[in-house]
Amino acid sequence: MKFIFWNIGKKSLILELKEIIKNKEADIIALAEFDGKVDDILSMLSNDNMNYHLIPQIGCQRITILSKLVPEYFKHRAETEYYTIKELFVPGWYKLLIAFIHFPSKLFTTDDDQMVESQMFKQEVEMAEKQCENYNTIIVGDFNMNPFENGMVGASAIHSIPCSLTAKQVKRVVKGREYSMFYNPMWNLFGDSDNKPGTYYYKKSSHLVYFWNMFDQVIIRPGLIDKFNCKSLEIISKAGEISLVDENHRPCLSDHLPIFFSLKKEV
Amino acid sequence: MKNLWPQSFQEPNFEKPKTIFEQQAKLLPTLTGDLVYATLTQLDYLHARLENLHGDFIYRFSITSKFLENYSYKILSFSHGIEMYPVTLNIDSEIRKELNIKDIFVEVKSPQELESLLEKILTSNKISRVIGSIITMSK
Repeated sequence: MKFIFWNIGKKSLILELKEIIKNKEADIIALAEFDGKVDDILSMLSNDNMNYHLIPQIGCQRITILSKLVPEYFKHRAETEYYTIKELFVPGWYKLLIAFIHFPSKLFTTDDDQMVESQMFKQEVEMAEKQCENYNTIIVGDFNMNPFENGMVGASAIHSIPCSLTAKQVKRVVKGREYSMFYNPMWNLFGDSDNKPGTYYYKKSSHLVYFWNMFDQVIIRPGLIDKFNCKSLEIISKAGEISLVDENHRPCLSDHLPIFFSLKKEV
Repeated sequence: MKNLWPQSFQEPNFEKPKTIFEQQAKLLPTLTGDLVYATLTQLDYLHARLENLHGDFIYRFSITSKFLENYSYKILSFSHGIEMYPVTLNIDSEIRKELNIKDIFVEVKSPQELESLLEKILTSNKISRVIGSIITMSK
Protein backbone atom coordinates (compact mmCIF):
# COMPACT_ATOMS: atom_id res chain seq x y z
CA MET A 1 0.00 0.00 0.00
CA LYS A 2 1.47 3.31 -1.10
CA PHE A 3 1.14 6.64 0.67
CA ILE A 4 1.90 10.25 -0.16
CA PHE A 5 1.75 13.17 2.22
CA TRP A 6 2.18 16.74 1.01
CA ASN A 7 1.68 20.10 2.65
CA ILE A 8 0.77 21.84 -0.54
CA GLY A 9 1.03 25.33 0.98
CA LYS A 10 -2.31 26.61 -0.38
CA LYS A 11 -0.78 26.66 -3.85
CA SER A 12 -2.52 25.64 -7.00
CA LEU A 13 -0.41 22.58 -7.82
CA ILE A 14 -2.99 20.24 -9.25
CA LEU A 15 -0.93 19.22 -12.25
CA GLU A 16 2.11 18.51 -10.07
CA LEU A 17 -0.05 16.57 -7.64
CA LYS A 18 -1.53 14.49 -10.42
CA GLU A 19 1.93 13.68 -11.76
CA ILE A 20 3.17 12.55 -8.35
CA ILE A 21 0.10 10.40 -7.72
CA LYS A 22 0.43 8.87 -11.18
CA ASN A 23 4.17 8.18 -10.91
CA LYS A 24 3.91 6.72 -7.46
CA GLU A 25 0.63 4.88 -8.06
CA ALA A 26 -0.36 6.02 -4.61
CA ASP A 27 -3.25 4.38 -2.80
CA ILE A 28 -3.70 7.07 -0.18
CA ILE A 29 -2.82 10.75 -0.53
CA ALA A 30 -3.07 13.11 2.41
CA LEU A 31 -2.80 16.83 1.77
CA ALA A 32 -2.36 19.67 4.22
CA GLU A 33 -3.19 23.24 3.30
CA PHE A 34 -5.05 22.14 0.21
CA ASP A 35 -7.16 25.06 -0.94
CA GLY A 36 -8.01 23.83 -4.41
CA LYS A 37 -11.10 22.11 -5.69
CA VAL A 38 -11.03 18.39 -4.97
CA ASP A 39 -13.25 17.76 -8.01
CA ASP A 40 -10.58 19.25 -10.27
CA ILE A 41 -7.89 16.84 -9.16
CA LEU A 42 -10.29 13.88 -9.11
CA SER A 43 -11.46 14.56 -12.65
CA MET A 44 -7.90 15.14 -13.86
CA LEU A 45 -6.94 11.75 -12.43
CA SER A 46 -10.05 10.18 -13.85
CA ASN A 47 -9.14 11.47 -17.32
CA ASP A 48 -5.95 9.42 -16.97
CA ASN A 49 -8.01 6.38 -15.97
CA MET A 50 -7.13 6.71 -12.32
CA ASN A 51 -10.18 6.63 -10.10
CA TYR A 52 -9.72 8.26 -6.75
CA HIS A 53 -12.20 9.22 -4.04
CA LEU A 54 -12.38 11.99 -1.50
CA ILE A 55 -12.58 10.58 2.00
CA PRO A 56 -15.33 12.62 3.71
CA GLN A 57 -14.17 15.37 6.06
CA ILE A 58 -16.11 16.00 9.25
CA GLY A 59 -14.29 18.26 11.70
CA CYS A 60 -10.68 18.27 10.57
CA GLN A 61 -10.54 20.65 7.62
CA ARG A 62 -6.73 20.99 7.71
CA ILE A 63 -6.27 17.61 6.05
CA THR A 64 -7.73 16.36 2.77
CA ILE A 65 -7.52 12.64 2.05
CA LEU A 66 -7.84 11.13 -1.40
CA SER A 67 -7.73 7.41 -2.04
CA LYS A 68 -7.93 4.75 -4.68
CA LEU A 69 -9.71 2.74 -2.01
CA VAL A 70 -13.42 3.23 -1.60
CA PRO A 71 -14.45 5.49 1.31
CA GLU A 72 -16.31 2.59 2.92
CA TYR A 73 -12.94 1.06 3.88
CA PHE A 74 -12.18 4.11 6.04
CA LYS A 75 -13.80 4.27 9.46
CA HIS A 76 -13.76 7.67 11.11
CA ARG A 77 -12.19 7.73 14.55
CA ALA A 78 -11.17 10.54 16.91
CA GLU A 79 -10.22 13.88 15.45
CA THR A 80 -9.55 17.47 16.29
CA GLU A 81 -8.75 20.35 14.01
CA TYR A 82 -5.09 19.21 13.95
CA TYR A 83 -5.46 15.53 13.20
CA THR A 84 -7.88 12.94 12.04
CA ILE A 85 -7.62 9.25 12.85
CA LYS A 86 -8.99 6.71 10.40
CA GLU A 87 -9.18 2.96 10.75
CA LEU A 88 -8.62 1.19 7.49
CA PHE A 89 -10.16 -2.16 6.65
CA VAL A 90 -9.04 -3.30 3.22
CA PRO A 91 -9.93 -6.86 2.21
CA GLY A 92 -6.83 -9.04 2.15
CA TRP A 93 -4.83 -6.56 4.24
CA TYR A 94 -4.11 -6.32 7.93
CA LYS A 95 -6.18 -3.55 9.50
CA LEU A 96 -4.48 -0.22 10.01
CA LEU A 97 -5.00 2.80 12.21
CA ILE A 98 -3.75 5.94 10.49
CA ALA A 99 -3.47 9.34 12.11
CA PHE A 100 -3.08 12.14 9.59
CA ILE A 101 -1.79 15.27 11.25
CA HIS A 102 -1.01 18.88 10.61
CA PHE A 103 0.24 20.37 13.83
CA PRO A 104 0.18 24.13 14.50
CA SER A 105 2.91 26.13 12.83
CA LYS A 106 6.03 27.02 14.77
CA LEU A 107 5.29 30.62 13.94
CA PHE A 108 2.26 30.59 16.23
CA THR A 109 3.31 28.21 19.01
CA THR A 110 6.10 27.91 21.52
CA ASP A 111 8.17 24.75 22.06
CA ASP A 112 6.26 24.24 25.31
CA ASP A 113 2.94 24.38 23.50
CA GLN A 114 4.18 21.87 20.96
CA MET A 115 5.23 19.57 23.78
CA VAL A 116 1.77 19.76 25.37
CA GLU A 117 0.06 19.22 22.00
CA SER A 118 2.29 16.19 21.39
CA GLN A 119 1.44 14.75 24.79
CA MET A 120 -2.28 15.22 24.24
CA PHE A 121 -2.08 13.81 20.74
CA LYS A 122 -0.22 10.71 21.93
CA GLN A 123 -2.96 10.11 24.51
CA GLU A 124 -5.60 10.40 21.80
CA VAL A 125 -3.77 7.90 19.62
CA GLU A 126 -3.44 5.47 22.52
CA MET A 127 -7.14 5.84 23.30
CA ALA A 128 -8.05 5.16 19.67
CA GLU A 129 -5.76 2.11 19.62
CA LYS A 130 -7.39 0.76 22.76
CA GLN A 131 -10.90 1.53 21.54
CA CYS A 132 -10.29 -0.13 18.16
CA GLU A 133 -8.04 -2.88 19.56
CA ASN A 134 -5.72 -2.03 16.68
CA TYR A 135 -2.06 -1.27 17.27
CA ASN A 136 -0.97 -1.20 13.61
CA THR A 137 -0.67 2.56 13.85
CA ILE A 138 0.85 4.96 11.36
CA ILE A 139 1.14 8.68 12.02
CA VAL A 140 1.87 10.75 8.96
CA GLY A 141 1.81 14.45 8.28
CA ASP A 142 3.30 17.83 8.97
CA PHE A 143 4.39 17.65 12.60
CA ASN A 144 5.89 21.14 12.47
CA MET A 145 8.68 19.65 14.58
CA ASN A 146 11.94 18.00 13.59
CA PRO A 147 12.44 14.31 14.48
CA PHE A 148 14.92 15.29 17.20
CA GLU A 149 12.70 17.79 19.03
CA ASN A 150 11.31 17.16 22.50
CA GLY A 151 7.73 16.76 21.31
CA MET A 152 8.81 14.01 18.91
CA VAL A 153 11.27 12.12 21.13
CA GLY A 154 10.08 12.76 24.70
CA ALA A 155 8.74 9.65 26.42
CA SER A 156 5.52 11.35 27.54
CA ALA A 157 5.15 12.98 24.13
CA ILE A 158 5.16 11.13 20.81
CA HIS A 159 8.20 9.07 21.78
CA SER A 160 9.40 8.24 18.28
CA ILE A 161 12.79 6.59 18.19
CA PRO A 162 15.33 6.64 15.33
CA CYS A 163 16.34 2.98 15.71
CA SER A 164 13.97 0.17 14.74
CA LEU A 165 15.67 -2.36 17.04
CA THR A 166 15.23 -0.05 20.03
CA ALA A 167 11.64 0.74 19.04
CA LYS A 168 10.92 -2.99 18.91
CA GLN A 169 11.18 -2.95 22.70
CA VAL A 170 7.65 -1.51 22.26
CA LYS A 171 7.70 0.46 25.50
CA ARG A 172 9.97 1.64 28.26
CA VAL A 173 9.61 2.75 31.87
CA VAL A 174 10.69 6.19 33.04
CA LYS A 175 10.43 6.98 36.74
CA GLY A 176 7.87 4.23 37.28
CA ARG A 177 5.66 5.12 34.32
CA GLU A 178 5.40 3.09 31.14
CA TYR A 179 5.57 4.81 27.76
CA SER A 180 4.84 3.21 24.39
CA MET A 181 7.15 3.87 21.45
CA PHE A 182 7.03 4.66 17.76
CA TYR A 183 9.75 4.09 15.19
CA ASN A 184 10.72 7.14 13.18
CA PRO A 185 12.34 6.11 9.87
CA MET A 186 12.73 9.76 8.79
CA TRP A 187 16.10 9.90 10.54
CA ASN A 188 17.43 7.85 7.62
CA LEU A 189 16.77 10.77 5.29
CA PHE A 190 18.89 13.37 7.07
CA GLY A 191 21.89 14.75 5.21
CA ASP A 192 22.41 16.13 1.74
CA SER A 193 23.99 13.19 -0.10
CA ASP A 194 20.88 12.86 -2.27
CA ASN A 195 20.38 16.65 -2.51
CA LYS A 196 17.27 16.37 -0.34
CA PRO A 197 18.36 17.53 3.12
CA GLY A 198 14.81 17.92 4.43
CA THR A 199 11.22 18.68 3.54
CA TYR A 200 11.13 22.34 4.54
CA TYR A 201 13.69 25.11 4.24
CA TYR A 202 13.69 28.11 6.54
CA LYS A 203 16.33 30.66 7.42
CA LYS A 204 16.38 33.58 9.78
CA SER A 205 19.07 35.77 11.27
CA SER A 206 19.41 34.09 14.66
CA HIS A 207 22.22 31.97 16.10
CA LEU A 208 20.49 28.62 15.99
CA VAL A 209 19.08 27.84 12.57
CA TYR A 210 18.90 24.41 10.93
CA PHE A 211 17.95 25.82 7.51
CA TRP A 212 16.64 22.42 6.49
CA ASN A 213 13.91 20.82 8.55
CA MET A 214 12.20 17.45 8.44
CA PHE A 215 8.72 18.58 9.51
CA ASP A 216 6.90 16.15 7.22
CA GLN A 217 7.26 12.68 8.64
CA VAL A 218 5.85 9.22 8.95
CA ILE A 219 6.23 7.24 12.15
CA ILE A 220 4.98 3.74 12.86
CA ARG A 221 4.28 1.43 15.76
CA PRO A 222 6.88 -1.31 16.33
CA GLY A 223 4.39 -3.93 15.09
CA LEU A 224 4.61 -2.41 11.60
CA ILE A 225 8.40 -2.16 11.37
CA ASP A 226 8.78 -5.40 9.42
CA LYS A 227 5.89 -4.43 7.14
CA PHE A 228 7.29 -0.96 6.43
CA ASN A 229 9.19 -0.80 3.18
CA CYS A 230 12.16 1.28 4.38
CA LYS A 231 13.66 1.58 0.91
CA SER A 232 10.47 3.14 -0.40
CA LEU A 233 10.66 6.09 1.98
CA GLU A 234 11.65 9.23 0.13
CA ILE A 235 11.32 12.96 -0.11
CA ILE A 236 9.87 13.72 -3.51
CA SER A 237 11.53 16.50 -5.48
CA LYS A 238 10.05 15.93 -8.92
CA ALA A 239 6.53 15.70 -10.26
CA GLY A 240 7.02 14.02 -13.59
CA GLU A 241 9.16 16.48 -15.53
CA ILE A 242 8.37 19.33 -13.14
CA SER A 243 10.92 20.07 -10.46
CA LEU A 244 9.57 20.92 -7.02
CA VAL A 245 12.93 22.46 -6.04
CA ASP A 246 15.13 25.28 -7.34
CA GLU A 247 18.80 25.12 -8.31
CA ASN A 248 19.75 25.11 -4.59
CA HIS A 249 17.48 22.10 -4.06
CA ARG A 250 15.10 24.24 -2.01
CA PRO A 251 11.32 23.86 -2.37
CA CYS A 252 10.10 26.35 -4.94
CA LEU A 253 6.44 25.51 -5.53
CA SER A 254 5.00 24.62 -2.15
CA ASP A 255 7.27 25.49 0.79
CA HIS A 256 7.17 21.80 1.77
CA LEU A 257 8.25 18.77 -0.22
CA PRO A 258 6.03 15.67 -0.34
CA ILE A 259 7.01 12.36 1.23
CA PHE A 260 6.28 8.87 -0.03
CA PHE A 261 6.35 5.45 1.63
CA SER A 262 4.82 2.05 1.21
CA LEU A 263 3.79 -0.93 3.30
CA LYS A 264 4.27 -4.57 2.41
CA LYS A 265 1.27 -6.83 2.37
CA GLU A 266 3.17 -9.79 3.73
CA VAL A 267 6.38 -9.88 5.73
CA MET B 1 -9.09 14.25 72.48
CA LYS B 2 -9.92 17.67 71.19
CA ASN B 3 -11.63 17.88 67.78
CA LEU B 4 -9.51 20.12 65.61
CA TRP B 5 -11.91 19.90 62.66
CA PRO B 6 -14.55 22.59 62.04
CA GLN B 7 -18.08 22.04 63.37
CA SER B 8 -19.63 22.44 59.94
CA PHE B 9 -18.50 22.28 56.33
CA GLN B 10 -19.23 24.67 53.51
CA GLU B 11 -20.73 22.75 50.64
CA PRO B 12 -20.69 24.88 47.50
CA ASN B 13 -24.11 25.94 46.28
CA PHE B 14 -22.96 26.82 42.77
CA GLU B 15 -23.21 24.74 39.62
CA LYS B 16 -20.27 22.36 39.21
CA PRO B 17 -18.34 22.69 35.90
CA LYS B 18 -19.04 19.03 35.19
CA THR B 19 -22.80 19.58 35.66
CA ILE B 20 -22.83 22.53 33.26
CA PHE B 21 -21.25 20.40 30.54
CA GLU B 22 -23.44 17.38 31.29
CA GLN B 23 -26.58 19.49 31.03
CA GLN B 24 -25.56 20.76 27.61
CA ALA B 25 -24.57 17.26 26.51
CA LYS B 26 -28.07 16.03 27.35
CA LEU B 27 -29.65 18.57 25.01
CA LEU B 28 -27.77 17.68 21.84
CA PRO B 29 -29.44 14.34 20.92
CA THR B 30 -32.86 15.99 21.13
CA LEU B 31 -31.73 18.82 18.87
CA THR B 32 -30.27 16.46 16.26
CA GLY B 33 -32.91 13.76 16.08
CA ASP B 34 -30.76 11.44 18.16
CA LEU B 35 -27.95 11.44 15.59
CA VAL B 36 -25.29 13.46 17.43
CA TYR B 37 -24.16 13.24 21.02
CA ALA B 38 -21.80 15.19 23.23
CA THR B 39 -19.68 13.32 25.74
CA LEU B 40 -17.77 14.41 28.79
CA THR B 41 -14.88 12.15 29.70
CA GLN B 42 -12.74 12.46 32.80
CA LEU B 43 -9.08 11.96 31.99
CA ASP B 44 -7.52 10.91 35.30
CA TYR B 45 -4.29 9.68 33.82
CA LEU B 46 -3.59 12.85 31.91
CA HIS B 47 -3.22 15.30 34.76
CA ALA B 48 0.26 14.21 35.63
CA ARG B 49 1.43 14.80 32.08
CA LEU B 50 -0.43 17.86 30.95
CA GLU B 51 1.55 20.25 33.06
CA ASN B 52 -0.04 23.29 31.53
CA LEU B 53 -3.53 22.19 32.53
CA HIS B 54 -3.15 22.65 36.27
CA GLY B 55 -5.80 20.94 38.33
CA ASP B 56 -6.74 17.64 39.85
CA PHE B 57 -9.72 17.04 37.60
CA ILE B 58 -9.33 17.02 33.84
CA TYR B 59 -12.13 16.45 31.36
CA ARG B 60 -12.59 16.33 27.63
CA PHE B 61 -15.78 17.49 25.93
CA SER B 62 -16.36 15.91 22.52
CA ILE B 63 -19.00 15.45 19.89
CA THR B 64 -19.77 11.87 18.92
CA SER B 65 -22.20 10.12 16.64
CA LYS B 66 -24.66 7.31 17.04
CA PHE B 67 -23.88 5.94 13.58
CA LEU B 68 -20.17 6.68 13.21
CA GLU B 69 -18.85 4.16 15.68
CA ASN B 70 -15.82 5.35 17.69
CA TYR B 71 -15.86 8.77 15.98
CA SER B 72 -15.31 11.82 18.15
CA TYR B 73 -14.44 15.45 17.61
CA LYS B 74 -12.81 17.16 20.57
CA ILE B 75 -14.26 20.60 21.28
CA LEU B 76 -12.21 21.35 24.36
CA SER B 77 -10.57 20.01 27.47
CA PHE B 78 -10.74 21.65 30.86
CA SER B 79 -9.33 21.25 34.31
CA HIS B 80 -10.00 22.49 37.81
CA GLY B 81 -8.89 21.95 41.35
CA ILE B 82 -10.93 20.55 44.23
CA GLU B 83 -12.66 23.92 44.76
CA MET B 84 -13.95 23.70 41.16
CA TYR B 85 -13.34 27.32 40.16
CA PRO B 86 -11.40 28.74 38.42
CA VAL B 87 -11.68 26.39 35.45
CA THR B 88 -8.95 26.35 32.80
CA LEU B 89 -10.08 25.49 29.28
CA ASN B 90 -8.09 24.47 26.22
CA ILE B 91 -10.48 25.18 23.33
CA ASP B 92 -10.27 24.04 19.70
CA SER B 93 -8.15 26.68 18.01
CA GLU B 94 -10.50 27.27 15.08
CA ILE B 95 -13.22 28.13 17.60
CA ARG B 96 -10.73 30.30 19.48
CA LYS B 97 -9.95 32.12 16.27
CA GLU B 98 -13.63 32.59 15.53
CA LEU B 99 -14.25 33.98 19.02
CA ASN B 100 -11.13 36.12 18.85
CA ILE B 101 -9.54 34.40 21.86
CA LYS B 102 -5.78 34.76 21.64
CA ASP B 103 -4.57 32.63 24.59
CA ILE B 104 -4.34 28.85 24.30
CA PHE B 105 -5.60 28.41 27.85
CA VAL B 106 -8.63 30.39 29.00
CA GLU B 107 -9.52 30.76 32.66
CA VAL B 108 -13.07 31.33 33.92
CA LYS B 109 -13.71 32.19 37.54
CA SER B 110 -17.40 31.42 38.04
CA PRO B 111 -20.27 29.27 36.73
CA GLN B 112 -21.72 32.37 35.06
CA GLU B 113 -18.49 33.02 33.19
CA LEU B 114 -18.26 29.35 32.21
CA GLU B 115 -21.85 29.28 30.89
CA SER B 116 -21.31 32.47 28.97
CA LEU B 117 -18.13 31.15 27.32
CA LEU B 118 -19.69 27.75 26.64
CA GLU B 119 -22.65 29.38 24.92
CA LYS B 120 -20.28 31.22 22.58
CA ILE B 121 -18.39 27.99 21.86
CA LEU B 122 -21.48 25.88 21.20
CA THR B 123 -23.05 28.48 18.92
CA SER B 124 -19.86 28.93 16.89
CA ASN B 125 -19.87 28.25 13.14
CA LYS B 126 -17.27 25.52 13.62
CA ILE B 127 -19.54 23.50 15.93
CA SER B 128 -22.46 24.05 13.59
CA ARG B 129 -20.40 22.72 10.65
CA VAL B 130 -19.15 19.65 12.54
CA ILE B 131 -22.63 18.72 13.76
CA GLY B 132 -24.05 19.34 10.29
CA SER B 133 -21.46 17.03 8.71
CA ILE B 134 -22.15 14.29 11.24
CA ILE B 135 -25.89 14.53 10.61
CA THR B 136 -25.33 14.28 6.84
CA MET B 137 -22.99 11.30 7.18
CA SER B 138 -25.29 9.55 9.63
CA LYS B 139 -28.31 9.61 7.30
